[in-house]
Amino acid sequence: MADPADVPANRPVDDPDAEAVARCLAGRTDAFEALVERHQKRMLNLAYRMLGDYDEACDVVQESFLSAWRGLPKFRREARFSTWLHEIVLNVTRNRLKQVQARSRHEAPAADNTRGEDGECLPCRAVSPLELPSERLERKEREAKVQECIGTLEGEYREVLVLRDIQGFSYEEIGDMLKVPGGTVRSRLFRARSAMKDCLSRLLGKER
Amino acid sequence: MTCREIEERLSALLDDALPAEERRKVEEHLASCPSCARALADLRKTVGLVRELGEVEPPPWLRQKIMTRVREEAAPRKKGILRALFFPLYIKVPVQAFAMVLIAVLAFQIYRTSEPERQALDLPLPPARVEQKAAAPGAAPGIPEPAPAPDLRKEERTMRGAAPSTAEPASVRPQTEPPRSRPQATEGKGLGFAPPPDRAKSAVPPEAERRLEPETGGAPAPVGRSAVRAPAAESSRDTGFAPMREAGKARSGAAYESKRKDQSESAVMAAKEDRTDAATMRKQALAPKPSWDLSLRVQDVLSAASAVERELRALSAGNIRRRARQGAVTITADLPAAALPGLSERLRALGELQTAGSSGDTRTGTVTVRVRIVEEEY
Repeated sequence: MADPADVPANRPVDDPDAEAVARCLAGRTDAFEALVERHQKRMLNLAYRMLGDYDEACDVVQESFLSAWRGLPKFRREARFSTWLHEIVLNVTRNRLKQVQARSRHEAPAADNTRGEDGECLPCRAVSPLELPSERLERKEREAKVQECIGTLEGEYREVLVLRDIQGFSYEEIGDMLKVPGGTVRSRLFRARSAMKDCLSRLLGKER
Repeated sequence: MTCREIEERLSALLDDALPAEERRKVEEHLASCPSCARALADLRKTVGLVRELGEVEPPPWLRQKIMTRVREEAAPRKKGILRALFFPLYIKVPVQAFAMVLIAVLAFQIYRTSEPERQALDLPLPPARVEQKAAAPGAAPGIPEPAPAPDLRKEERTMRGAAPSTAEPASVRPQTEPPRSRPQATEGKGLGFAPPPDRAKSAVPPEAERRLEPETGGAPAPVGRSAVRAPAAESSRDTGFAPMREAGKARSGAAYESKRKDQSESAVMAAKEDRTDAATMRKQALAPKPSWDLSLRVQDVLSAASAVERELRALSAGNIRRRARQGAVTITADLPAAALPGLSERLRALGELQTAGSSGDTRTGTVTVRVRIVEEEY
């Protein structure tokens, strides 16, 4: 799952996006389009796993890329562009989560529009052709429960879990993004995983 | 290490993020503690489930939507650069100030360049030349003296608004002091020729006249013959100097001033000669001056105007003035009544002459002649 490109390295030197960023700074929107093309999927998955809502995740990605375009002149190349972009998505997601939580406090819980009747995530239909329908159904149910458990985590634990186990970042990179020391990342991750284990034991029961 | 402490490290153990020493201790414990080993297995399975989560695909419109908004924002950014050049005050204000100065300089230049042309229209006859001729002693002996028309006081009253006849005589002024006001009418000995009252009312604004007043010393009063608008004051008899009156429409200028000084000097002599006529002139000054209006149609207005002036000078006309208005030139002069037949004869040679009208007694004394020269119509 971990992208080899995201393994920590000498940061400013080996940013594969450095050239595109430079062209963006020269006002080239086509260069930015290339960056969008390259990173939108990862950003969408981060937002989606954080929010559990596909449409909200799409909105967050849009807003994040727009913020990135606006903030590009201020982007100091001490970190990779992708790391910086993740920070933006996380910020936008946090704000969105606050809005969602504030909304849910006042409104009756609404049906999750990203799931079909079987609890399947609508955009997640791209599946292996070798997968049997029963297997597929089983997987979707399991995924839905995992996502549900992620949704039960507090924001700071959810971030660490998604960044480490879904996005594949190292402790150091996560510490940089969240502006917390490595020890904090480790302890947050332990708590997040423990909570996930308890949640999944409850939801999946004897399946596990 | 207790089981709880071991459990806290299992997550890091999975990520291979434990220091070597800690890792060895944890692994030793796990080998001997089935409970902790099971906890590790559960944790590994949990992490596995999270890592197995499928990826979602971005919708095809997402990139387009993002880029549409980015391009919308990029366009104003380019415009912003242009705007930045012109809108900040530290650029805009100097640019506008410079533009204003430029316009002012250009306007002044245009005014300067067109001034000679306007002068040619308004004042084709430099007074200097006229007066120099006039000042020449004995320039035209035998030609009847033009009757002076010291209508000056009238004009003075009209233009100044209030000119008490008992104003301070010029003679009491020190000689060195430049007379700041025009000689008052009552003191005037009437040696000069005043412009006809109608002209005095309309033609020259008081400011224009004031500009023309002598600045150093009084100008001697030029007399008689063809002296132009140089009224003598009584004071000229005592001091030899009188403020020279330049009621013409001459534009001020250094050249003009210097010329005028020369005229003044030559006029002194003339003034002495004609001093005796002053009393006579004064008597006539109060009588309304007769006038004679002529209309002359010619092919070339300007050259005809010069010719008319020449003829007038030859007839010893005084106070010759030219005024150009809407293509027509009007020349006004004071002429002895006896010279009128000669004038009309000479003017007929120049073009089609018509008498437009006359007032007062044009048979004796001095008559104000107005010749309006217009272009012949075809």
